[in-house]
Amino acid sequence: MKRILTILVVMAMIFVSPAFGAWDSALPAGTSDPSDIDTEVGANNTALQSLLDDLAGWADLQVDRTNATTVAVTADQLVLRGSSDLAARFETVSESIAITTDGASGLDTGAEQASKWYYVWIIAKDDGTINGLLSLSATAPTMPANYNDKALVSAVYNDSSSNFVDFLQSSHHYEYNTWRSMASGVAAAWESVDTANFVPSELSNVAFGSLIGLGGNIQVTNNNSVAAHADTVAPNKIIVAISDTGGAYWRLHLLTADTLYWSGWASANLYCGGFEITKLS
Amino acid sequence: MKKLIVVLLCLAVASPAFAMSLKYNISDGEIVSMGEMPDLSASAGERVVHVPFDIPKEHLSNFTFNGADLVRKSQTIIDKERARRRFSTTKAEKAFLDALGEFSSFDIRFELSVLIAYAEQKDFDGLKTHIEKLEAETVITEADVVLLNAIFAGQNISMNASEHGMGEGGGL
Repeated sequence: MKRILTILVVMAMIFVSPAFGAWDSALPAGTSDPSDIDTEVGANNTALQSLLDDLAGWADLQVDRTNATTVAVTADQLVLRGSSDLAARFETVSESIAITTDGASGLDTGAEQASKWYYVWIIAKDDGTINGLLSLSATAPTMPANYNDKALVSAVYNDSSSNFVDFLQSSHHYEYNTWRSMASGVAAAWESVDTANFVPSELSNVAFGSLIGLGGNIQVTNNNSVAAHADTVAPNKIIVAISDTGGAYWRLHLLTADTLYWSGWASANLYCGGFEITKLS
Repeated sequence: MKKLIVVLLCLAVASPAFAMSLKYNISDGEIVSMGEMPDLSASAGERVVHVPFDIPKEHLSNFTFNGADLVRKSQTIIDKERARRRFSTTKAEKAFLDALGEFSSFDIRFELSVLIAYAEQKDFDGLKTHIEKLEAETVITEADVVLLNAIFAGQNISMNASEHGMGEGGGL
C-alpha cells in the first residue's frame, strides 16, 4: 500500500502541469530542425516574458513632493516595460519631475490643469537614458520621442490652486503630509463622500484616515446599507462616541467606486490620511 | 446639430471640476456641513451650494457663510462656543463638592444632579433659568448664586445674561 502511495505521489510531482511554458536552455539546439526553430524560440520567449511579468516592479521606491510644482522619485531598483512587452531593469533611480517643464522630466502634453490627478511615470530610451514624466493618463502617457519603456509609480493631486498636495509614498503606502479634510460639520444620516480627489482610482481602492470631533458620534462606512443610527451595532462601520475631544482611525476598501459614507454630529471631521497602492506591483 | 454640439460644449465647460458642497442655515449663515458630498441635500431652512474653496483648517463652527464666502466669527464668540463644547461636568462636580461647605445650606447638594443635567446638555440658558428659580424660591441665596457662577466661570462659562446661548451636544 505504501509503495502504491509513493508511486502516486511521485507521478503527481512529475505530471503537475506548469502554469506557463518552461524555459529550455538547450533549445534551439544546433541539431534542431530549421522548421522547428521559430516554435522553440517562441516557447522560450513566452516563458521569459512570464518571468518578467512576475518581476517586482520596484525596490525601496520613494516618491514625494519637492514643492508645489515638482515631485521626486527614487528607487534602488525599477523595472520598466517597453512597447514590445520586454522589461528593462534600472538601478539607483533618482528623478525630479516638474509640471512646469515640457516633455521628459516634465509634463507629457498640454497645459497644467487644476483639481486633477497627475500620474507619475518613469520613462527610458533604449540607450538607457532615464527620466520622469507627468501625465493625466494612468495608462497611456504621451511619450517623448525615442522613449520606449515606462513604469507607472505614483500620482500627485494638483489642487484647486494648481499646487501639488504634499505627500510621501514609500513603496505601496501613500500618505498626505497634512491629512486632508473630506467632510466636516453635521451629517444626520449617511452622506456619500466623493473620494476621487483623495484616492486616485487608477492606483488604489483602499483608503485610510481619521474621524475627529468635539462631541457626539461620528461614523464612517463603505456600505451605506448598514444601519446609520449610532446606537445600532452593525458591521462595516467605524464609530466613535465623543464626550469632549476624540477620534478614531479608519481603513476601508472602497466597495463602491470613489465613494465612502459618513455621518457625524457638530464639529465632526472626516479626514483622509492617504491610501494603499493596490493596483501596481 | 451644431446647436446641440454648442450646448454640449457649454455644459462641459460649465461643469465644475471641483465639487465642494456646503450646507448652511439660511437665517443666520451657520454652516451645517461641508465636503465633497455630491448628494448633499438641504432640509427646511437650509441651502446647499457648490463652492470653489476647501474646507477650512479650523472648525466649521468658527465660520458663517454669507452666500459667497466664509466669514470668521469674532474671537470672543469662538472662545465662548469653544468653552461650551469643552465644558466638563466631571470638573464642575468636583468644584461644586470642593465648595460645598461655603454654601448657605448643605441641602444644595440635592440640586447638584439637576444643575449637572443642564450642563451635560450644554443648556446653559436652562441652567441659568434654574438657578434664578432656586434663588426666587429662596432655596439658595444671592451669595450661593455667586458661588455657582464662579464654578462655571472656572471653565470659562459666563452665566451673565446675553453672553451665552444654546450650546451644541447630543448625538445622532
